[in-house]
Amino acid sequence: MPKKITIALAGNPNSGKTTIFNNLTGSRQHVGNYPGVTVEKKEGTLLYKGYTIHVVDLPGTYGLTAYSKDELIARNFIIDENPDVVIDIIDSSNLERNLYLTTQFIDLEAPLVLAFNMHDTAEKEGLSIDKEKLSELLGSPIVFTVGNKKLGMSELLDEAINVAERKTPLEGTIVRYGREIREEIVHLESVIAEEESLIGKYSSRWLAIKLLDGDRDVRKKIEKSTQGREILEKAGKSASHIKSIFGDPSEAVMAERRYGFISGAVSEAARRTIETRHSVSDAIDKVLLNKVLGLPIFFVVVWAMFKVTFSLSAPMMRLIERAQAFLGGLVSVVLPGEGTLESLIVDGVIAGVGSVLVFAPVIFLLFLVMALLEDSGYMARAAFLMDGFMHKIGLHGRSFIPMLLGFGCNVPAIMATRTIEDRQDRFVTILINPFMSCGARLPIYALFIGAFFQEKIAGNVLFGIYFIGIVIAIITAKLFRRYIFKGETASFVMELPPYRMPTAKGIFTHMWERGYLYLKKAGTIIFVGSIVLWLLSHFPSGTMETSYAGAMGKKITPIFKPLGFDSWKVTTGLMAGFIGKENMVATLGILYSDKNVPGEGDSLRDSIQSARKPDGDKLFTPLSAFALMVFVLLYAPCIAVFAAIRVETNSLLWPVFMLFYTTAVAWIASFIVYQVGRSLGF
Amino acid sequence: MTKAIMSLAMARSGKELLVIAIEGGWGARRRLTEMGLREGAHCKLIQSSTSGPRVVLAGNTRLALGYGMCQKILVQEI
Repeated sequence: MPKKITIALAGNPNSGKTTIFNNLTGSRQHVGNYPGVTVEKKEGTLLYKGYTIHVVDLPGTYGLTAYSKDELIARNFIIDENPDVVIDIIDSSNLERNLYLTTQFIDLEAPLVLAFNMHDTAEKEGLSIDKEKLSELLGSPIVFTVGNKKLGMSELLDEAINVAERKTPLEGTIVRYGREIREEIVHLESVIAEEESLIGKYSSRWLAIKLLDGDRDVRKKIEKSTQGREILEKAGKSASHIKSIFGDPSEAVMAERRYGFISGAVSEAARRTIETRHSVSDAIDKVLLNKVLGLPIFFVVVWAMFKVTFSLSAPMMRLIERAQAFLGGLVSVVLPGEGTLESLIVDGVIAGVGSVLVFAPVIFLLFLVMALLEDSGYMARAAFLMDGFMHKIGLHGRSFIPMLLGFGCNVPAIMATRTIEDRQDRFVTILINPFMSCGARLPIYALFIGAFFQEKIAGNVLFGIYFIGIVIAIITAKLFRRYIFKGETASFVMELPPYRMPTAKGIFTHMWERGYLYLKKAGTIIFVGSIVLWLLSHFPSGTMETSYAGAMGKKITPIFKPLGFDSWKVTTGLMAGFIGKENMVATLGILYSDKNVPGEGDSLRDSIQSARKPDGDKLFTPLSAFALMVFVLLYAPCIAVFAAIRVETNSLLWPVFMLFYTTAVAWIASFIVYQVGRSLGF
Repeated sequence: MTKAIMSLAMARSGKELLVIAIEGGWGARRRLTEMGLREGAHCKLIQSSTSGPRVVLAGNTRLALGYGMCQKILVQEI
């Protein structure tokens, strides 16, 4: 039986953690979520020297306080799951800052191995480290690694096994907080140690330290214990004692001591021979963040991003559609006369698979470009450039790119919100995204604008539609911020990582992971949804008009009367739009092709121009056509968007909520347009 | 001669600065400390605009800080 070891990979964002994770686990990875939260959990297994090693990639964090969800997850994983080893990945050219996280692992008494990553770069920058000495000072083995060159990986595993087997000669260490603080820690420790409900799982020393750190999560835990109030009271006294000695709040003094411990160790065991400070990155930033050039360059980058994702994917999408048509044709040949079965396979199964696959090229390409921007370091700059503007509408700089991508397709746009760290910002950005008018809605506008508006104002009408979408997105963002996702907008603090040349492997791994997740998770929902909708529009009778969908369409049509487009055909078209917006035009095409009705059966444009209500009035006027376009812009997005929101929020609540509020907003906006327009005499 | 204490929002770019105090809430202070910007440390403003975010070099880390955050960080030229 091979022995099992669990390794947790921890480290600051941008420390090269993902690369090391990929190096260690190769393709044997599993991506899931931490229970109950939307934070991605990556795991992988490898066999090494007779050990089965399970590697868990913890979220990248700067600390282990309860400040953010990521930090809480990382910390709870170590406390609850007790991994045999924690590998803390450290950016060697930024030692002090990265070691700050390490001090918190030391406080936690985690079994540590330190990977001093990107060691080659640090060496080039003139840093030389006495590995043995620093290992001793930090009480943990150090391994020099270069993630993108796969250097140091087996050494890393060897040390991890040593630590797991307790064969390492290093005895661990504690952060030295100084006499006064140490006395308070010891004092609190003894009080905590009497509380039986706390000991066992947590070390009492760690709890004592966290109390002096003012950690909210630990305070809450202690409050619940029987002697909680007493302990907290003592902690309060200790904290004010420290404050009275040092003149600073205890958490500030603790932080200062941690940095003191770090700089003590680093100055003793490391030497910097040249003083360079990422001069290359600064030189690039001089141009890319330039007051005059920054924004134009950003817009060119975004334009290129659009171009690559949407233009390159278009031929592939056509190919998929053609394959779909070809397969459909093939089935009709193989199964002639089998009406319902044929239709199920062609319009249900093949169309369902097709509507999943048709998004694959655009999503893979988008993730490719995103990975390129992310890995090179530009994404953080883009957020920086847009932050001032986005902040005014209550969003984060990182929300801009997803919003913009929404004009192409909301599905990849929603998946692109992954780069937004703050959950509140992220959810708001996801939920307003459907209001950004996607490309699939364009054919509907084109149809109605072409039919009811003169050519010279057509452009303005179209612009007006897009503009309404943007305005409503901004208003909704503000409302959501105020009523649902309350709390301060995450103050804008972000690291601008040094520019790096992205590696092909890294980018493709990124792309594949995310794209695959989409195909797997969203694909199921879209596929099942398509089949259900096929059933609804095909039964009991086989024709749209008398099907369940048609009956439903007729039933709900009256609610569109105040909006000016109460026709069951339009309603059914809107329902078809839920599978994919582009389906609406096709459905209207089928429904208005009845040769027995005068005026129909010519082009769809002529049909809708001459369509009449039962009372003989024209169904569409320019005003009601505009009201319909506003409705199309805003109402429930397609099922793929629903699925994307399901995947990204990891809950059913949000996508269902989204269906209702978008449709409600659509109705209200369309109502206002129609009624106000009428009273103005249009 | 002691130099004037001002907020980071007022500081000139290119100058070495000493962080005197961070006046944010517990969370914001903690976050900045973990990211390497802490009281008593040196930093340098490397990019600023009228009311937008700023780029600060703290240790070997470039941090983008929102204008509001910069107003809460007190610094002194050195």
